[in-house]
Amino acid sequence: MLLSHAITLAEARSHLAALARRAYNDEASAEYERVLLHLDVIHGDFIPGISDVDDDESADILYGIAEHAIEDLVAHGIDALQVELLLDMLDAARAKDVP
Amino acid sequence: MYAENGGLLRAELSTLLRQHRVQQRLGGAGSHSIPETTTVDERRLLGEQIRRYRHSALVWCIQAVRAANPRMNLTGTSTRTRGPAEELRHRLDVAVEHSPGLPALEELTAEQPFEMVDSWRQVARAATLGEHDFDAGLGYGRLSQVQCMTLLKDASDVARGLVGLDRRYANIPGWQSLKDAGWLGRAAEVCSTFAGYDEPDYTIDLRGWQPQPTLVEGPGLPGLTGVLQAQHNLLVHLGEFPDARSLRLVLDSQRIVSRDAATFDTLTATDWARRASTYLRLIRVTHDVGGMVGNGGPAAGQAALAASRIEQFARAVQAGNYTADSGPLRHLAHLGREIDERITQAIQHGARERLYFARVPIPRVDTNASGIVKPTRHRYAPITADITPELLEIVREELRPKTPAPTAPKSAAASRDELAAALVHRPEPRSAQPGLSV
Repeated sequence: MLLSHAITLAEARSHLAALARRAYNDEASAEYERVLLHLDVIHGDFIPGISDVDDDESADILYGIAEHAIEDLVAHGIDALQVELLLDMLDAARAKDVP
Repeated sequence: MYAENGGLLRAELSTLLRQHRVQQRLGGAGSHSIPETTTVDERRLLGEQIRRYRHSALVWCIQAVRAANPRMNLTGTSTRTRGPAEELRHRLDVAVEHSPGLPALEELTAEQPFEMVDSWRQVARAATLGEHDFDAGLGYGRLSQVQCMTLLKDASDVARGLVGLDRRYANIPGWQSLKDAGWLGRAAEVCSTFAGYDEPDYTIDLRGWQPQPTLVEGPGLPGLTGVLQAQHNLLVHLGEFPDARSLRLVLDSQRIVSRDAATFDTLTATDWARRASTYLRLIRVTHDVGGMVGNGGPAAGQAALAASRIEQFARAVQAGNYTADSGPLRHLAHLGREIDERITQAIQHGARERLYFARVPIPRVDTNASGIVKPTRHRYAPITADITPELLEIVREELRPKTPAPTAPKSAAASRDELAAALVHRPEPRSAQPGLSV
């Protein structure tokens, strides 16, 4: 894994974890965790850790960064279909993340 | 299991103790209306065969006494210095030393033409199968003091029965009595009284060898049975240590199973919801846990099947196409508790043996990183109480199921009472011959 790939992946993971932590309900939180799990399954065991994300950021910004990072994974050799599935799961989680 | 082998041993021994007129039961001469069907030589051979069966029961008694009281070295001791258990074991050792040896496999498996000999075969068979129990949870160190006493009393009563039958069989041609049968009987009686002083603990019957659960192969079963099939297979596959990625998939599947079970199992919906919440917390705290040791692929596959099948079933229940019966729901809850127990063991084993790791930021600048800004280095660290306190606390406090205290099988006391009654019973007096009345 190249450094740029690792940074993109770390960004996606960190923001997904932050979304899961800040979700309005357990169901949405579990869906964000499922996206994260699926992302890890695609990449295998050698993956960067989750970094702390600024808690002041709004959920929209976190979502946008996570979505963008996942989209960028195509440029690092990840199968486009898998990326689309991840984006779909992320969208489904977002739909459940309502107060 | 000890309940099955010990129960069969006692039941057949009780049957034998209630049988009298031994010669007739071996085809010997009885009253004028019962013809003699076997020769003296044949009865002598049958007697030898019975002694071989008896040898198996004696060996079982020794193993049971040893499991209850493993004092190994009896040399240099005497009747005065030996306790009740040691004395019984010494007398059993003497009896076995002068016994003809174990029966052949054919003698154990082939049904015998005489009912009495076949009862002896069942005794020997139960004793032989019962040998596996002592190495599978019935050994010393795994039993409580009360359970040791219960086991000792069981062995003493069996020995008493063998001594009683030995006296009764003295008329069989060529019969050789137990060596020092009087001493053995006395030691067994004393030991039985000594071990039966306190209240017995019949939960010992739940211990012993049990067959390993096997996979439920074949195509997916419909409805809730399919969920049970996948959960059962998951439990079987969890016998192998899962790698971290597979473990996370299993955790996710169990959250889905619990969430959906709460929707149609209204009686225990609270328990299912609590389980789903516990698994969600576990998923959160394990999202940065890694570890490549182990093979959890088959378990993860069955976990995914369980999750998808229960989602399908929950939709069918909501649509009114299916109803959930109480029996399968109880089975599902039971499987859930066993899976919880297994996952608890896996995580604790992974933490203890340093097989699971957590990525933790080390407060150290990674000078090898490219670029002008040097990030902090991230490293894998074994999950310990310091690194992931929340994970281990959830596992210890919430995930581990609160198992109820084991209760003894209903037939446990009845089986012992029957043997005790057979040991002290007296044959019914012969009916009075009708005579001439004046």
